Formats: sequence, structure tokens, C-alpha cells
Amino acid sequence: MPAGKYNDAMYAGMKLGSLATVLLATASARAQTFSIEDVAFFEAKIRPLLASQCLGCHSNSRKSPPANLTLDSRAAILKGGDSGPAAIAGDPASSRILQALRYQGPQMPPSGKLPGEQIALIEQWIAKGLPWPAESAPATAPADATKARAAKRWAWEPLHPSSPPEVSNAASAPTAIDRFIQAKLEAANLKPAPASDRRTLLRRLSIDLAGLAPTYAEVQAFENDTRPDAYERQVDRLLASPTFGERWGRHWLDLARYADSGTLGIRFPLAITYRDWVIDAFNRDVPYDRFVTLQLAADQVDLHNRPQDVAALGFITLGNDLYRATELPDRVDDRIDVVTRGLLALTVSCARCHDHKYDPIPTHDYYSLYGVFANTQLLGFAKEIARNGKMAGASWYEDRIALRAQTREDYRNERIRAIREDYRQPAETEKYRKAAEETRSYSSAHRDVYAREHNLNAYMLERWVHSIDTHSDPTDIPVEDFGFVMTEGDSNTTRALRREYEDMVSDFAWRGSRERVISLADERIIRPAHVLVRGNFYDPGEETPPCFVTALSGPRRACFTHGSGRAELADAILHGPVPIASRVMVNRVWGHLFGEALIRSVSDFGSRGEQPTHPELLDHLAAQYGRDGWSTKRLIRSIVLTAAYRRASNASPEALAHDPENRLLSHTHRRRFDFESLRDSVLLFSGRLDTAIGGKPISLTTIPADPRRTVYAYIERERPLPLLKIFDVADPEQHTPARGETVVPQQALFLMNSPFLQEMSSWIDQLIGQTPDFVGELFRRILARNPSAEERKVITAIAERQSPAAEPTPELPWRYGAVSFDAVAGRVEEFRAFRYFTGSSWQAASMLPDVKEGMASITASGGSPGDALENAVSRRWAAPRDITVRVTSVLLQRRNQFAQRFHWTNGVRGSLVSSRSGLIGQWLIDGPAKGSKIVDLDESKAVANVESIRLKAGDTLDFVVDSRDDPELDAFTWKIKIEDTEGADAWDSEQDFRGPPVRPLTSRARAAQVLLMSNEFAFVD
Amino acid sequence: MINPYSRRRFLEYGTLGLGNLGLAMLLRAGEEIPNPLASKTPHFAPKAKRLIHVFLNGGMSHVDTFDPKPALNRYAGKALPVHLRTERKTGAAFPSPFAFRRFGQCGTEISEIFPKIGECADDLCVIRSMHTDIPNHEPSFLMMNCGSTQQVRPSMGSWLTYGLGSENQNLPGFIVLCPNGLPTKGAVNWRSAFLPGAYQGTHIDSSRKRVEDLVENISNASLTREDQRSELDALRAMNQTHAAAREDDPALHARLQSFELAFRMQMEAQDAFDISKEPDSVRSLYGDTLHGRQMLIARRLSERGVRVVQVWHGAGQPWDSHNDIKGNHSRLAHESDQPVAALLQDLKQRGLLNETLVLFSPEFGRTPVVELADFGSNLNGDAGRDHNSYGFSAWLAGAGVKSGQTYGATDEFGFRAEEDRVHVHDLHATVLQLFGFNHEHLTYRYAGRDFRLTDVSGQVIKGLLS
Repeated sequence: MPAGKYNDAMYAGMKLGSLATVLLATASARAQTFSIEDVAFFEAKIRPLLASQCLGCHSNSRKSPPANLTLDSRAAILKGGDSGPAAIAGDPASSRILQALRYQGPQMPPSGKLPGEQIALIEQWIAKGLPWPAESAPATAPADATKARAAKRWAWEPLHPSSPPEVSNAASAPTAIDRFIQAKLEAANLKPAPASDRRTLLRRLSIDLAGLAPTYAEVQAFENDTRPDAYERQVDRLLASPTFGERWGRHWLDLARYADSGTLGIRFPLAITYRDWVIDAFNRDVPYDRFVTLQLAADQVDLHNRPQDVAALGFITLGNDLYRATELPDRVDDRIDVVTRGLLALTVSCARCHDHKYDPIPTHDYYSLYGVFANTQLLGFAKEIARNGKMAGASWYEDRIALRAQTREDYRNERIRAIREDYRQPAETEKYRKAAEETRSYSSAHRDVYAREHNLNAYMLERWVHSIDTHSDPTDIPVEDFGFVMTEGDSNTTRALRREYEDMVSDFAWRGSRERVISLADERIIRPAHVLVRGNFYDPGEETPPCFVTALSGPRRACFTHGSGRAELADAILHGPVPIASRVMVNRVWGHLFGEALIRSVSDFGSRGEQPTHPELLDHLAAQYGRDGWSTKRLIRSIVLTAAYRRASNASPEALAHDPENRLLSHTHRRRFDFESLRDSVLLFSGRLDTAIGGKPISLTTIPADPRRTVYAYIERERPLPLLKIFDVADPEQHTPARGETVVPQQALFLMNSPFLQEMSSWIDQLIGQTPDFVGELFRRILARNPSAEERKVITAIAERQSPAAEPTPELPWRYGAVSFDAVAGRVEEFRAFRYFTGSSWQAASMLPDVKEGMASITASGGSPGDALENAVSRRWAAPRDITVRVTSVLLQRRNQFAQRFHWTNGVRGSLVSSRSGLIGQWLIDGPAKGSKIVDLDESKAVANVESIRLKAGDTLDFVVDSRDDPELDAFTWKIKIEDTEGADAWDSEQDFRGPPVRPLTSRARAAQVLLMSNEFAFVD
Repeated sequence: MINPYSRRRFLEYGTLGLGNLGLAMLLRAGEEIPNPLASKTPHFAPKAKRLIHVFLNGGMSHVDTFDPKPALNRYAGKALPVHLRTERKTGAAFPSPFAFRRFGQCGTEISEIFPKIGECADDLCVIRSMHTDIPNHEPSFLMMNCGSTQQVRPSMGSWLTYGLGSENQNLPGFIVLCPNGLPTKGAVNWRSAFLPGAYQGTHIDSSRKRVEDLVENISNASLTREDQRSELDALRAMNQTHAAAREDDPALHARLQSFELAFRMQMEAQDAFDISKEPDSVRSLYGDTLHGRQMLIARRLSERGVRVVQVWHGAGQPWDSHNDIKGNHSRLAHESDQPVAALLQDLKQRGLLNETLVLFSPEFGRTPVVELADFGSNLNGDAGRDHNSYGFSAWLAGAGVKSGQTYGATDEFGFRAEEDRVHVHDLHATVLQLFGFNHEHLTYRYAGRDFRLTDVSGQVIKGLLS
């Protein structure tokens, strides 16, 4: 076997580690006429041979296979090529394939005769009758597939020059864009709808550009503006507002499958740097080509003194983060998908296992891109770009982050040494030496199956086989390959260590640090990729240098030579002969403004996608985009200034009859608010909206609601909030081309019953306050218009409806907050009640850590302290009357095996402080003792009982916990019982724990709610 | 006149892949607006109308429950002649600490820790030759639930509600019961993925006792039912006027109606989840335990037409007994035994078992060899078993199932499925068959391709069908 080629294939197999294959399983599940053993024999011994030695030339993925002979299927082999059948089932002697392998006649493979054992295997296989698993028929007949491949797609041709057509009715087509639309309307004999009224138009424009409905004042201002450029002024006002970036940034985040956490719910520590970068990029109108280039290769291009632009790489890093070394192909697949569907509207992922069935995208193209991403370290890391030592607590975080990073290094180094020793034990070396001898001539695929069957580590087996010829030391495992030899315990430990490190980095960023952003880098050693036959990465086929997609390449295919090739890939995407990137983006922008794009399958311009409704217009826009320096704001401006955009959304009877899908755009589409616009507009009209741009994420489910915009919601890839799914928010698991618009009762339940709507309705009631024209104010505030007489009647009936008074909910004597604590004097200086209730915790921000109070929080059974004495936590009990009480409680902390081994917590201190008599008691919980035996769950506790405490009405008992100056992992449990020593009354901290009392809605608030639920509010006409 | 274009948009969600589905199928009687959960008919006459999937998340050990392996006794404490690679380090053969005995007329051998389920043996089709691909929870949950270990695909429950709609429009069509939190991989297990969000499973934390805590936003403590009704009446009036001025756009009407559906859902959910309405005899049949109550809720939901109910054992992966198989599996089995047996009996008594399919499965099985200690995964290495994707057991009962039998077999040690192997894809194909679908033709067009639950795999296993 030619050494060089085999080494590469072997290395690819080695690098791909110990994933269990389905070869044996698949074979036996599908076998029909052949026995399980025979099919298993084929899969284990023959198929890999064919793949690696024959299919490079004799495959139907080649344009003209030599001698017209393909060996991809049993039928093809039996049929043969120019020289007739390649094999006769059961008759090896007469089979041409065997003669060729024996170099009797044609000499195959041409590069060198196969070893005797391998030829013997082929002979054996033919003698058995060429066992092969049954295969299902391809989705299309071969002839159709070829035709589909040959058919050129308009979208893949170079720019088609055209000028806007002439139209009869020039008044209906004031802009160039309008002429393209008007020409088709005239050809179809359709009249355009009249212009929308100003209120409707401003609503549409505001939602499209800002994601916020306009206020009554804004509508009035526009309606009363008599200047000729009144509309242009509205457009420019909205384009200049930072709300624009939040709106259009969110569209992009759909494409980028943005999430704040990945597999197992583990946080992406610096995801927010990407989200904020995207929002900021739209606000600064970063040219689209630069925008894309940075997202693919910011680590490799000149940043023009903006080191923070590295955060753009979140586009790559915030993807599939399965962390095992062996899961590389799935990580790569996610990147290929997001880049090709997102930027090129090509479904290249289909070609992972076979040639695309419909488009001219051979599997070779998929693997040309594979190398680009396989040679990139896809799991991001924190890159320091600044030091802002001025930020409070910065040095603590710096030190701790460095320590946690060191702990990871140390663990890995310690373990790799131990593992090397394990593999040097005589029993192990003997086992592997024997196995290596036996499997020396096997393919990587077969060797992996062997390893699985014999309980061996596949990577080590590969090293042993490799050492036979090279005389290298197989046990000298490089530290970078730790992932292939580590145990499951190591995997859990390294993950726990990484998580602890990343939580520190993330907490620091969420509290305001701008020191770090997500980054990535190329692999240190660039390795060639190979086609993986049928997507099986133990079945590497021919080598595939990194190159661009064939269908988009024009006559000369761009291939990449610098590092992973990401920078060159970006260049090929943006500046190749086919203006695909601009067509795709321009089409998306059109879709967001009109409700339907010109090519409606926005992420698939292939043969299974739709045809463009106005191809010349699309190219006109693409050309304009390029001439305007790829300015997305200019593009949007030119579109919203058309007459077409400003039309009413009522369809004429003729339009309904002849163009029911409104492809010709005789009118605009009525559209429902997406979830972000809905929630943000409700916040705006309730007077609550916090317009701060960027920063730490929020929770959407706290009481009260966190009033920042919905784009800042914490998005969990694996535990998506049902609320988001219900409202069709993009699924963060993969690239989302377009959101659905479903209607389900759970949406109505949210609007009817959620705490959010109750709270906002109450705010509106309060905001409007006592005024004679409450109902009028309500309509103006929420719907930006005055009510009709009939509406006034209906809504007034609600606003004035009498309801029986609700029973007052009993108040409990507990309060939860952060305190400044003087531990020496035993005094609580300041009590800052926690604002937010999450359902299980009271805390200062909707998501922790709070910028000021850190992790301070109180739960039913305990909580977490803040950084130090200035933000300890307190569960405060107030005496309802003069009383003497007894306190029985246990303060404790539990630490898992990692916290024990790596000393993550130094313990906490509990103090009981009476407002009347000062410090009553203090109890220390220490961190895990160094050197003590590690157990599953280590518990350290203190019994905190006080027999008798005298209090007067209104006195407070503060159960204070502070971090002992080190808040890392300081969650504690403190269950407290307080009993009246002279009576039956008792209070239980856990039983009594609850959120804020629910207040009934006033009738006026209910009237507000009706309008917030209305279709008029939720739809853009 | 209703805008036919808007009507078409609703059809986009349902028609592709369903052959002879017409608009009429999507419409509820007397209304003109299509509803994604409207009841639909499948390709051919179904045997099953509803699915209850009891999921033993964490990996129930087959050699300790449904697959007796006396050969392990011969090798106790010694290396097995066959030792496939396991995720964690494993050692010597580890016979089951439990005794097996024969149950029912069919004489199926079941372990002593499932005595009540054992009594139902004649209703069960026990598959002993299940196998899956990866000995790890997350990919195997995804395989069992979504038909793919890594890729983003809709769950089986979503496919079924997409294909069939639901029989009761006042409740979600696909409900997932899991007590005390979320299982490993969370909502991904019941995801709709690229299918419309209407087909996503609705998770209920069944440990909550109060109905208000069970379904999100199902009730409102801030206003009375009457006040709410008055609001909805006012809303209806406003929405109708609004729609009338806009060609009665179906999208507007659909949203208008969704409030009425939601109003009804409040009452229906209150009723469905309220087990206090059951007679004492039924409640004691299931047992007054967390799992008993949860299973009774499952029966009530299914009986009320919820198309798919999935019942998980608990948050995380409780059946994952890496240590102390004896203690842990005894306890876990005890928690499920009575409720599951009660479900079967109860369905039977009500005449529902012959139109309900009950699937009882883990995501994989466990190794016949003992797991060894290793910091980070198993501190103590205490008489437990590691994950086993090579072979495991599951059973089917109810509509269209050939009951009173075992199907397939593992090797003599229970390491790998050997005879009449059933991959999870095959199980899916068979389940869809029972619901009246050719699994290759229940598809959805996304990203230019027709996707299906079984992707490119799966064979209907005729031996499981009556």
C-alpha cells in the first residue's frame, strides 16, 4: 500500500478516534438475501477496500469513470463497463476484477499491487457471491438527477445586466424598483392598491425598522407633517436610531442559530459579545462584505484598530458544541450548514453522505469545505483584548480566572502522564502488540470495529500499528491527543473544570467587563480532508483540498492555501464571479420588509427552492448593493421609499382572483408581530421599556418583568423556553431561514393569563391615571388612534365593570435582600430588597450575577451570598407583635467531588442579627478540608439554634450569610424554624417562601389588557 | 370572501406528504379556518389512535428486568469471553441479583422487581433484541425520541401530531409528563424542530399538585372567570369588526378563535389534571405516589383524546444505575411497577387498550459486566452497570400488537442483540405502521428535502404485529 496516502487516511482515522460505527449493525439490519455474517464481512473487510483503492476513479461521482466501469454497487459491478462484467458471482477465477488485481492483464490499482491478503479477501468475497446489503432506491432516477445537475440555475449565473423597464403608468412607479414591479402588474392587468394612510404606514415602518410600534405622538407628528419629505424624515429617523440594530440584529441571529448556552445547558461564556457585536454592526452599517468577512475570519484579517471585532467569530463558535474529540464531523457539519444555507442559500449539507440528489453539489464539494472547518478549532475560547482594572472586583476575577485556567492545564498534564504509564504496563503492551499484528493490514474502519469488539482504545491501536513500520513509541501520547485516551471520568472532570473556568469568565463579562471576547483560531497543524464515503468517517475516500463550491465557482474553482482557508473562503463567497452573497442578502432584506422575499425559499436557491418572482429586480438590487458599498441601511432605505412598500394591504378582487399569493405585489402583506415586537411594544406602551443597548442577558419569566428588549433574552439551545417556541421564535438548534406564523391557543393563554400581561396592564392603568377620558387615552396609547363610538362603548363597559373585592392575601413576615454587613460589630447597615422573583429565587437582577450584588440570592431553602461583606444576603423576619421566639435551624453547604478535589469554595459565614440586640450568633462553614477523602457529596454544617430571643413588634431578625471574601460556588442551605415560645405560632422559612403577592387587576387594567390582546395591536396592516 | 392566499399558507403546514389530504380535513365542523391540530386521517386504516410512551430515562438494565441471562452466573466475577468496548471501564461478569420467573399463559420470564407488570405478561410483546448506536444518554435520548443521534430532527410525538392532529382541540396534542424538572437534554426530547411550533410537546412538571402549577398560564389569579369572559367578549367584538374591514383575513380569524380555544383549554385542563375526580378504587389501583398519580393523569389525558402522552420517570436520568444495581433498580422498579400495570389494566377495563399503543422503553440497556471505579465518573465502583447500546429490552402493548410473546434475543450474556435485531429506527417504523402510516411517506419538506422520522432507515417488524 502506498505509504503516503495510507498514512493520511490512517491519520484521518486516528484523529477521528473511537466513535462506535454502525457498520455491523446496519449490515445485519438490512441484509436480505445474504447472511448477517457475509454482509458483516463485506462491510468490515471489502467495502473499505473498494472505497480506498477503487472508488477514487471507478465511481459514479466521477464525470467519466475509466472504462465506464463503476464499482459503487453490486449491480454496477456485475454489469461492468466497456470490458464487460467486472465479476461473476461465485466464480472468482472468471472475474475480471481479480485478474486486474493480480496484474494479469489490466493492472489495478495502477499505483501499486495490493498485498496478497487483500487480494485474497476480494477472492473470498466473490466466492461468497458478492454479498452486499440491500439498498433503497435513490429518490430520483439517475437520469433525472443528471438532468437536474446539468440544468443551470438563474441564481448561479453572473449578474444579469438590465435596466428598469418602461411602464405605462409612471405615477405608480416613482422609483426604479417600482418600475420592475409595475411592469409585471401591467402585464398581468392588475392595478396596484392605493397608498396606506400615514398611521398604517408609520406602524409598518416602525415595526420593520425598529421592532417597536409607534407612539400616538409619533403618529400625530407624521400625520401633521406637511413637508414634502415628511416620510423620508421618518425613515431616516428610524434608520439612525439604535433600535434599528436591535431589530435587524435579531434577524441575523436567527440565521446564525444564536444561543447563550449549548450542549448540556453549559453556557457559552461570551456569547453576548457576539450578539452585541451584531447589533452594533447593523447600527454602524458595517458593509455587508466586511460584516461577513469578520464573522468568518476576524482572527486572520486586519481589524483596523478594532480588536473587539474578533467577537464576530461567534458566528462560527456558537454552533454545535458537542465536545468529544470524536464528534468533530458533527461540529463541522453545523458550520458548513450555517455558512452555505445562511450566506449562499445552498443546501450543501445534503452532500455529506452522497452527491446532492437535485443540485450539482457533489459530495466532493462538501468535503472541500470540510477541511476549512476541521482545521479550525471550532470550540471558541476567551480572548483578552483589553484590561479594565478600574472595574470593581476586576482583580479578584482576573486572579480567579487565571487560577481556574491553570487548574485545567495541571489536570490534563497530570492525567496524560498517568495514562501513558497505564499503557506501558506489560499486560497492556502485550495486548496491543498482538492486536496490532493481527490488524496491521486492516483499513482504519475495520480496525475501529476490531477495537470495539475487543475492548481496545481505537486511537491506541492505530498508534501501535503505526509504530510497526516507524518504530516510534506508541505510548508517547502527545498531550493534544488527551481527548482520545481519556476515560469517561476524565471527560466529566475536564468538562467540570472548563465549566468552572468559563463561568468565571462569563460572570466577569456579565458584570460589565469588556476585557474578553469569543475567538477561535486555526489548528496548529493543518491536515488534509477526505471524502467520507456515505458520511462514514472511518471510510475516508479521496483527498479533498479546501476549495469553494463548484456550482458557484465559474470556470476556475477557488482553492485555499493559507491556513484553514477561512479568509479565502470569505473572499470566494463575497467576491466570486457569481454575486450569490449579495443576491441572498438582498433577497432576505426584501423578505423582512415585504413579508415574502423575491425568492421565497430564502435559504435555498437550488432546484428544490422557488423561482424568483422578479429576477431582474433581484439583480438590480444586488448590483445596487455592491455599488452602494454593501450598505444595508441604504438598501433598506431604497426599498422603503418605493411606492410598493407604501401600499395598503387590502387585496383587490382582481388580485385575489389572479394573484392570490400576491407574488406580483399589487398590495402589501398583512403581517403579525413577531414575539420580540409584541413584547417590546407592550413594554414601550406600559412606560417600562429599558432602552439600554447590549450587555448581560435577561430572563423573560421573572416577576416583575425585566424591561429590557427581548433580543437580550437568554437563549438556551437545549431548554428553549416554551414561550419562545409557542410564539415561533427561531429555534436555536440550527440555522433558521424564516420563522413560521402559527396560531395556537397557548399564545392566547400567555396574553390572557401571564404575569407579564397582568403587570403591564396594571402599569398602563397607573400611567394613564385619573383622567376624564380614560378609554380615549387607552386607545391613543396602545393603538395610536381614537376609538369609534362603538368601541368606546364596549371598552368603557369593561373599564367600569364592578367586580367583587378580592380577598386580601395574607402578608408574610419575610423579606429577602442584599445587605451591607459589619461582621465585627454585628450590624446590618443597609437592606436592599431583591427586586426580581424567578419562580425559585429572589435576586437583584433577572439573571445572575447582578452587576452590583453578584450572585446574591435567596431561595426556598437557602441561597448564595454576594461578593463580600458589602453584599451579603439576608432572609429577614419581622416580628408581627411583641414576642419571644425560639430559632431552630441548620446552615450547611454541600460540595460535589470536583468542588472537593479542586477546592472551589472556601465556605460561608452565617450570622443572626437582631435589630434590637445586635449579633446573636455566628457560625462558620469551612471549605472542603485539604487532604480529606473525596466522597460523592461532602457536607459541612452548623446547627444554629437560639433558645429565646425577645423582640418587640417591628423588630427584625436578619439571617445573614456572607462569602468570607470569596464568593465562588458559595450556594448554601439554611432552613429555619421560628417558634413563639409562648404560643402555637410558628414560621418556616421553606414553607413560607413565595413570590410577590398576586394583586387583582383593576377594571381599567383589564380594559388595557383587551387592547393589548387585540388583533389590531398584534398585526401590521 | 376569504383570501385564498392566506388559506394556502395554513395548508403549507400540513399537506406535503399526506397524499390525499384536502382542505376539508383541516377544517373543524362549521368553521372555515384551518387548524394545525385538526384531526386528520393517515395513509391507511390505523390500529392505534393514541400513544402512551413510558420512558425509563437513564437506561433500564435489561438483564435485571426483562432478559434473564443465567450464563452470567457461570462467569460470575470472571472475564466474559466476549467483551465489547464500553464507555466507562468495566470488568467481570455480573449476574443479576434478582430472580426471574415465568408469568402468564405465555410464560414470559420477567424479573421479580416488576411483579405487577409481570402479571400483565399476556398483554405484552417484549422485545429483547433492541439496539441503538451510541452508549451515551444524550444521543440515545435523541435517537429514541427523534430518530437521530446528532442532527436536529422532530420528535416522534411531533411527527404523530403533525400526521394525525389531535382528537381534542381543547388540550395540547402532545403532552410530556416529567416530575421535578427536565430530563437530560430537556425540551430537545420533544422538539418540533423544523415542523411548525404547534407540534412541539408541552411539558408538564407532574410533581406539582395544584393544577394551576401544571400547565403554564392555564389560570389567572388576578381576575375571576367572569371578568375574563367579559374581556374575551369585548375582544371578540373588536376583533370581528377589525377583521370584517380586512376581507375577513383567515389569519385574523384564526387568532380570534385561538382565544376561545384557550378559554376552553383552561377548563378542560383543570378537569383533565384533576385526579380527585377519580373514584377511590381507581386511585388506589395506581397508588397514591408521585408515579401513580402521574400515570393516572396520563390515562385521563389519553382518554380525552390527547394524541401522544410521554411519561418520564423523573428529571435527569434516574434509571442510570452505575452503582448499586440492586438497591437502585429495586427502588426504581418499585416506583413504576404498580402505576404501569395499573395503566394497562385500567385501559383494558375501559375498552381503550385496543386503540391505544403503549410503548415502554429506556434509551439503552446496561452492561452484563460490572462498572469499575474512576474519579469523575464513579468514585466507588459499587456493583453497578455501565451503558449498553448493543442490546436492550423494551415492550409494546395494545393496539395492533402481537401480545403474549417475546421477540428477538441477545447473546447468551446479554451484551449484544443477536437474533431478530430491532434498531430504534425499526421500532419507529413499526409504531408509525400501527398508526396507519407508511413511515417512508410521512414526510415534511424542509431545506429542499423531504424529511421523515426514520430518515433513510427503518423496517417495519412484522413479528411485532398481530
